[in-house]
Amino acid sequence: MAPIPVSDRKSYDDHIANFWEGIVSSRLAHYDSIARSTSSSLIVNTLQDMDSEHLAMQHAMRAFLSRRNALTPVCRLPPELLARIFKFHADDERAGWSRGMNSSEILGWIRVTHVCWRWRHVAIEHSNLWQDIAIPLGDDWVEEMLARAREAPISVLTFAGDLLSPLNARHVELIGAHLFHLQRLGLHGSDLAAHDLVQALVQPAPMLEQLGVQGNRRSPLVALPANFLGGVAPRLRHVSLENTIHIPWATGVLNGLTSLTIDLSGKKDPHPPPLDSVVSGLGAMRNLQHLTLRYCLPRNTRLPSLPFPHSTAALPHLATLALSGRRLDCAVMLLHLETPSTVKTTVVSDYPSYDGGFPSIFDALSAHRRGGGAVHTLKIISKLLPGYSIESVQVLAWYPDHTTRQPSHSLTFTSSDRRLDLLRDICRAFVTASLKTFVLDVVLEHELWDAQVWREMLGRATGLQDVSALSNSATSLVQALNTEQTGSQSSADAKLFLPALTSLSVSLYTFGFSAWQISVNLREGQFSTGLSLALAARVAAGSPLKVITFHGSKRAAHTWIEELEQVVTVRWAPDTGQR
Amino acid sequence: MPTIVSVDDSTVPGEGSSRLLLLVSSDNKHIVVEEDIMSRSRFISKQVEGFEATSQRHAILLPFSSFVLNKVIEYCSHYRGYYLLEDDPDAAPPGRSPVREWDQEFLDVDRNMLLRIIKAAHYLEIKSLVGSCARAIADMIRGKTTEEMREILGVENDFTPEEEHSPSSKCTG
Repeated sequence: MAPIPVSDRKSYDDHIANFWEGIVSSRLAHYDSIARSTSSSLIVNTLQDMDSEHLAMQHAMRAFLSRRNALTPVCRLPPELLARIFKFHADDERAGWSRGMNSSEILGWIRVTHVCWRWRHVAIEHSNLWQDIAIPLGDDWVEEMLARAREAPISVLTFAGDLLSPLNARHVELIGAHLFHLQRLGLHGSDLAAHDLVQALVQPAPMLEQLGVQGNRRSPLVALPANFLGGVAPRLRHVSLENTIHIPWATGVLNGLTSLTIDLSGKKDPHPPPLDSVVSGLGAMRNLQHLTLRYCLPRNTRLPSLPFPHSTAALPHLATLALSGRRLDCAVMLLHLETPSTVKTTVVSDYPSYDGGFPSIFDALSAHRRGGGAVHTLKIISKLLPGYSIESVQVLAWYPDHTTRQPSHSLTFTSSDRRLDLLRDICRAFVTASLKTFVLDVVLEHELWDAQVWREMLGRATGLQDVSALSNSATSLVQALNTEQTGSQSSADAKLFLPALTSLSVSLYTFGFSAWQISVNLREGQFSTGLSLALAARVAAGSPLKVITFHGSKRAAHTWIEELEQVVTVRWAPDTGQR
Repeated sequence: MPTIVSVDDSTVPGEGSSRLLLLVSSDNKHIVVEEDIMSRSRFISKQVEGFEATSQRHAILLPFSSFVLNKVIEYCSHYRGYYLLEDDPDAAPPGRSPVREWDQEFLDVDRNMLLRIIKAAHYLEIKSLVGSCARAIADMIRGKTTEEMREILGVENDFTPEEEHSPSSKCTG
């Protein structure tokens, strides 16, 4: 139809109005006349006619509105663009899934299929919109989405946000039938059907890229079958197995992995894998970049002697390594892995008194690192670990070849009953003349940790420039810095302790918060006197301290600090209130 | 395919460090733009390759208005010389990521303009702009009811009651 000139618009509007009015009026007049009839058959027939006409009118209206919609800018977008918008919308909604949502809220994005006929058509036709199949959506949806996804790669998850849903036998059957285009599988293996499904994973999965099996702590361990995925999963790159045992180390199906996590926290594997099979399996994963093994390490009764005679797994691309377990098991695993010197290592281990006879894990770490420079920054922090009721000691170490803020080694020891032994081992392993920065944030037992211990710990750190002695550790450090107080001025080891030291950070909380103010004052007095003497001694030795940073609240009572400012730059760290 | 007309060399002074292109909008506005700026457009790049093959330069006629075209040029100018992952034909498709801050301001336009920009970006094969527009439109309908979506985007409910509740659409939310 040709466009109507603006000048004729009014008459056109009138024409349209008359046209519809004519039709409506004539139809209504017809039915009005029948309403006056007494013939029941005529009325019944007319009712049927009206229903049919009503239906026809609905279809006509639908067709009319569809044509109207087709002219709107959004419906004139190419279908692939509309589908792209829907995909973003679906991802947004999926990211917001949370416990307590009802099914209509979970299916939020599918509202787009109710907006208009074209949107529904586009959404249903684009199989990639239906790829992410979450079991909590309900059985109808699982089947419908599998059908709509057609042969597009799919991901199947038994969770949506923090919603969990147990698998049933039908799900197991469906997933098994769609293994051929399964790209991602995420299972919470807390129910028997999940066990059944894992056991059923024996067919090839040529598209599978990610597999996550997360067992429930209260449920039995999930066991992977020996012929896992029929040995064929050429695209498998990421595997995360929690509370899962019988890893098929020998099948080769894991050889292409770039990321592997095995976590048996809170579980005890009745048949831990032999060391040889784990090492040989890892050795075949040449492209591995991230490896996490928690409480699933092969058991060892003794540390092999060095140099290490056995085979090792070479992982040339490894970027992060996380091990948790018994100290000895961690040490043995470290010795069996050949990794780049830049690998970021995290070890969470016990430090029990009963295995004191074993060589230190630090020896294994040194051997594991195989090259690279010495640690330049070392932080030792005592804190409560999430999930642990005991205070733990965390060691963070940076090597020169690491430029990021993340430490090269992050070691956490979950027993602090032999704190002094542990700190000695740490310092023995990491303190060298190359150390530039040392932070100790540990509450010390003064009767054990005195000036002599400081000298023993940091005596080799001839290049150390910055020392932070936080918590209560500053008092004995100051004693160590003050050669007169240590009584070693004229002895053979009278050489200046920490000769390169220029910056010292201490916590004013070191003096405590005793109800006996006199006790606090006494400790503060000892510290300030010791610090003055140490400063003077270092000036006399030609290695003066340049900056002292105090952590804690600045109070008027600290008049000695004002005096310090005459001889050294004094700074105040932001008061976080942490002790 | 766009209509291509021959261009007089005096109209398009090329051969500089960055050659000039003549783009002609649907409202017949002639816009001269540096080739470098438009290199983010796969469509324009392919056209330019075609010119090189025939050693003739042409104006490129585009099926959208100068208003829309200028917006697209503004986008391309802003990101001139920048690497955007979405525009890298060799890169894996980027995952879910927020709209860049500048893009958010740039796309703070009315609904119809946003739809025209995404259509133009799609035509010109500028994937990063298509992605940002699609995200912006998805943001417009996030958390909205079907009725609100219709209102926002100016569409009518064209389902018959039967279609809305037919068994075949039992899983349409």
